[in-house]
Amino acid sequence: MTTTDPTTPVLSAEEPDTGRRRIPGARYLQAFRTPRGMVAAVLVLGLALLAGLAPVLFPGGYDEQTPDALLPVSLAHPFGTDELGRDIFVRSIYGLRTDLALVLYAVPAAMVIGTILGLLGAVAGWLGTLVQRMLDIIVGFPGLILGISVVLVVGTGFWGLVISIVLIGLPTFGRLARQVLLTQQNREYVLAARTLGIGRWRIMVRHILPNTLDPILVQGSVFIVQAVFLEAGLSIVGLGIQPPEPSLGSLLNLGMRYVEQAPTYIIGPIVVLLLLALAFSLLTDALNEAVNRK
Amino acid sequence: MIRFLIGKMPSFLLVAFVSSVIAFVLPRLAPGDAAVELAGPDATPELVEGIRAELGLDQPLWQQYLIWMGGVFRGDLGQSYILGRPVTELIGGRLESTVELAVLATIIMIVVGLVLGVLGGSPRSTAARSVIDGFNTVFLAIPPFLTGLLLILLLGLAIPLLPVSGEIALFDDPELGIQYLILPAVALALPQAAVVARLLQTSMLTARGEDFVDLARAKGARPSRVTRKHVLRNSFGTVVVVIGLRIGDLLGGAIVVEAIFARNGLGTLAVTAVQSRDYLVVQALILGAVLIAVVMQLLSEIVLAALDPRVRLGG
Amino acid sequence: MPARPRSRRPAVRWRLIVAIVALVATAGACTSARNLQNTQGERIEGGTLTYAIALDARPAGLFQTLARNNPWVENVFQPLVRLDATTRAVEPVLATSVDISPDGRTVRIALREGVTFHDGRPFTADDVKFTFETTAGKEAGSNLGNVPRAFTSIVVEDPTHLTVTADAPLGDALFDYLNQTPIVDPATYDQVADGSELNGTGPFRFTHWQPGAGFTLERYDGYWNRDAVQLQRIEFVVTADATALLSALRSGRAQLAWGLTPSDARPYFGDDRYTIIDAGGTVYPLGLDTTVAPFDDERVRQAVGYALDRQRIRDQIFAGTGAVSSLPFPVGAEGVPQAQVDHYDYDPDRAREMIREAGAEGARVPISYGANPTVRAIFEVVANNLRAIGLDPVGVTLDQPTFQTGQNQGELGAAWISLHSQITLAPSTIIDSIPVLRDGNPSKVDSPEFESLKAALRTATPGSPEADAAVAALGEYLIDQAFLHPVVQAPEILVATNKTGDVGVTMRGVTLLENAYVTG
Repeated sequence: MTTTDPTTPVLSAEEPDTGRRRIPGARYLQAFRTPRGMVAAVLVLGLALLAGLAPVLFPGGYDEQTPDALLPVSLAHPFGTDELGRDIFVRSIYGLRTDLALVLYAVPAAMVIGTILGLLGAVAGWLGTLVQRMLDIIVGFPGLILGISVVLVVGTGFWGLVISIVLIGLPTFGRLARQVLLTQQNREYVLAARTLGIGRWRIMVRHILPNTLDPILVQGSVFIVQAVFLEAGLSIVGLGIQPPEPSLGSLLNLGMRYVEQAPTYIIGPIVVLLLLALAFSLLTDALNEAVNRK
Repeated sequence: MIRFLIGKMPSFLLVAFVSSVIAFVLPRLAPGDAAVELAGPDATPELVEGIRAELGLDQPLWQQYLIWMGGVFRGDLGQSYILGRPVTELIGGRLESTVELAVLATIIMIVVGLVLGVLGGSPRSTAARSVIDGFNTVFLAIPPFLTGLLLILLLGLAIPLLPVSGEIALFDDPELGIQYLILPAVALALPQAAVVARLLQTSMLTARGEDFVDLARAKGARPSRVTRKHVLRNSFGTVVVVIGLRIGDLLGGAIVVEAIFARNGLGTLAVTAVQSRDYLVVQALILGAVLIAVVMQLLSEIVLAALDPRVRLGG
Repeated sequence: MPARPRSRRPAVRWRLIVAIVALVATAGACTSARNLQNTQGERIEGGTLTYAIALDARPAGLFQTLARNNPWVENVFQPLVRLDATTRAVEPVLATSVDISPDGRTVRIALREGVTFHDGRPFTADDVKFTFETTAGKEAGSNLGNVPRAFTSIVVEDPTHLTVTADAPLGDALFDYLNQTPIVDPATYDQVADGSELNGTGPFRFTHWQPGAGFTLERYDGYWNRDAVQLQRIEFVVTADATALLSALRSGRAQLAWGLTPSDARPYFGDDRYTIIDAGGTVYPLGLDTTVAPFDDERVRQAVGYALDRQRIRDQIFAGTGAVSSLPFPVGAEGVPQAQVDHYDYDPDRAREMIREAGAEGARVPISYGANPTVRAIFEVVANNLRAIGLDPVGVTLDQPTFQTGQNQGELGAAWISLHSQITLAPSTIIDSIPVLRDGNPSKVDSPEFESLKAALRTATPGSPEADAAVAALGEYLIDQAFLHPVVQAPEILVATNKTGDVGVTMRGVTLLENAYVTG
């Protein structure tokens, strides 16, 4: 019986090793040749650029206060203004920046640590089993409960969120890597390589690691969306990013107070959040398609 | 069956034990200390020490853990350091709100998930199918809090039908209570329902390709009968397992949904307890949530075993 | 997947549609949980009022004048006297008279007869003595504990009379103290802290406490002014979220709400279905530590005064309610010159110039504040204002207990934003009451000049020309030293629906429900 999240794409753990990858990146670039992939690329790049260039585009920063509080939508303020007269569009972009920064730290960390943990089984069988039991326990904690537990220890703010996201991501990546390891370990070529006296490390680096790359990468794309939602969830309840620093979640936290007076206050961050989710879902699909195409 | 259960017990107990240790240790790794907060503004170090001793916080950790666990088995979760009330009483006071939410959300999740899953897994027109697929894709992608916010904007503000904030206990006033409950429960349920639906659909479509379905059809069974007797029955096990797993997630999601809809339930209690570092409350809630998730998993495995002789006998 | 013939069963569809229509119709017939009707019915004798409160009661802080106890405390426990919110006239409650000797050092208090505690025991002068002695102790946490500590003797003459003496004149602070100190029952006082037994003399008994969720007040039939009481029961529901508080009022689920900020309640201003009741007053000052750079320079502290856009803070955060003043005294308090109130007007250019002169450009300024939405919003504007004049402010969010501890120990760092809900007190009381002015203040101002100015105000006879002069002199000093910049003084607000009336509020903002009623 498997307890993996059923929403995660079922991936190439069963596929034979294609072995030869001359230009490793090229396969992934194929993802962007489909229309869906192109939309994904444009969206992701667009959002990343917007976030990255925010200080250039909006040199006033996210804290430019004016006397015009809670203005409705207008050309000058596409999402209106907040209670201190700050432009919510600008704040949403800076919020996006915070979220993407979070993703940039947390997701690669979760991928790398998770994969290493998953592959530990290759060192010794018992170690692999032990790691899996530990991951099982993490899975037992519903996502936000785990987040709250982490915040309890390290406190609210950016790094609390990074740690929560990494912890929540570990089981997914760890299990995925282990799945690949187990299938590959019993493949004939691995058994053959072993009888030929090729060392464990060599087998690991040459054969098993490349095979984990595809599923981990696709899963990483899925996980980006989860990470952003986790930030939003924790910040909404007040345990994530603390105002005045904007994040998509902390904007929602503030905006909830004014939901009846100025609904656009939360609509802005929601739109950005949805765009972000859409971009990375499309990216996941495109990547998935690309790695499964042989 | 009994052998199956006995086989499952060790791993269940292990998870329960480790969770209890984590739930216990985590809050104590946190900086700050309930004694300092309780001692108040003008406290001397001696007073803080005194309070610490009174609360038993000066004993070694393992001893505190044993005392706490002993209490848990007697149904005594200790006293909240901050509020000076038994934790069981605090949790009891908030339980109704969360239970109402969770139960209604579970019902909605099961009903919507099954209906959409069966519709999606049965022969349908392409139009109907794409509607169902669209629903699943959207709600698979967005979490409960976002569903909740969208519902607030749509049904609370754009077309003001239902209250968006606050609550009334169902037992106090069922008619008003249910109106307060609908939006949060739907928000909590839809994303999980989409998971159930998608899974049921996939599983039914797979089953449809199996030999025994072709055989039944060749024997001339009506399509609806094929769906009911052969396809659905075979997909049911997966669905049961998934529903069990989703309930754990539902509890996690309840924290944010309660915050968004301003319900005064266990999620809100957890958040305030974290903010005021009320250890015993936090650890009881963490332990509770994890145990419920684990028990749900175990239950779904039992149901699965009951449905499938291979699992039951093979262990 | 090949297309297969679909089974069409119109009958089933029709049944479904009928069921949906029926459901919708039923829903339409339901009472809506959304909107309050504009009609007002008859007064209900012995009705139930539902009071939505943002923070739960904390009986352990009975003497600490915690804002969170304001909704209920004087409906259960009563003080000896109350001061009128505007005139400060003394109104009798449990005392019928308080007579001060001409030298201000002997006070004779006569108590009301026929008053009983909720357990039926008669109220006597011994209870008053016990309360005075208890509040003199540090553990009670009374912020006017200095008043009973100044008592040299408390003599009970008979069950309804007692005399208090002191070495120094007792002044205005005595009445502020009597006004805010609820009389407790010595036998059950140790059960007050955990809320298990709250035995007071007020019109209602405290029952059914579910910490964090709410509690109930039930009418006490032995109350000495029983005939004035209209309500049978008051249900307090803890509703932390502002939107939920508003929704509770709008749906008619609650008739009264406490804990909304004016900006939360803005949509209800001018709506005749709701009444906004001003209650008490809170001052939100920005404090500066005079021993820490850059605030060890007087020019920098004064520049901060000119940098604050108080008017915008009042408009945006307090929805235009409240008043701005450069002094931590109530606007309109006796003896405070208007010129001092208006001294620090918004002048960022001048402030920037002063910062430049002092060479403090780019100085990093940590500002600590307690986690409270209003204070956080004030911080955001203040930080913005300070950045505009060339300082580099950073926020340090502290949880409420940590902030409180720092405040009482006089350690809050270079700068902080605090709140003090005692702005209605007389200036001579405030100087010993609010932690940011009293001895051991976090600004670390303890110069002999400051002490002697405070002493002059303390000992001046209330209302005399000397008292006015003392207030003005102290005001001059505060403006000159500029270590405490009050940002806004704002009333707390209660929002009541048209289904209730005669809700009273004391000078401190405590809700009085003795005469309140609900309508159908």
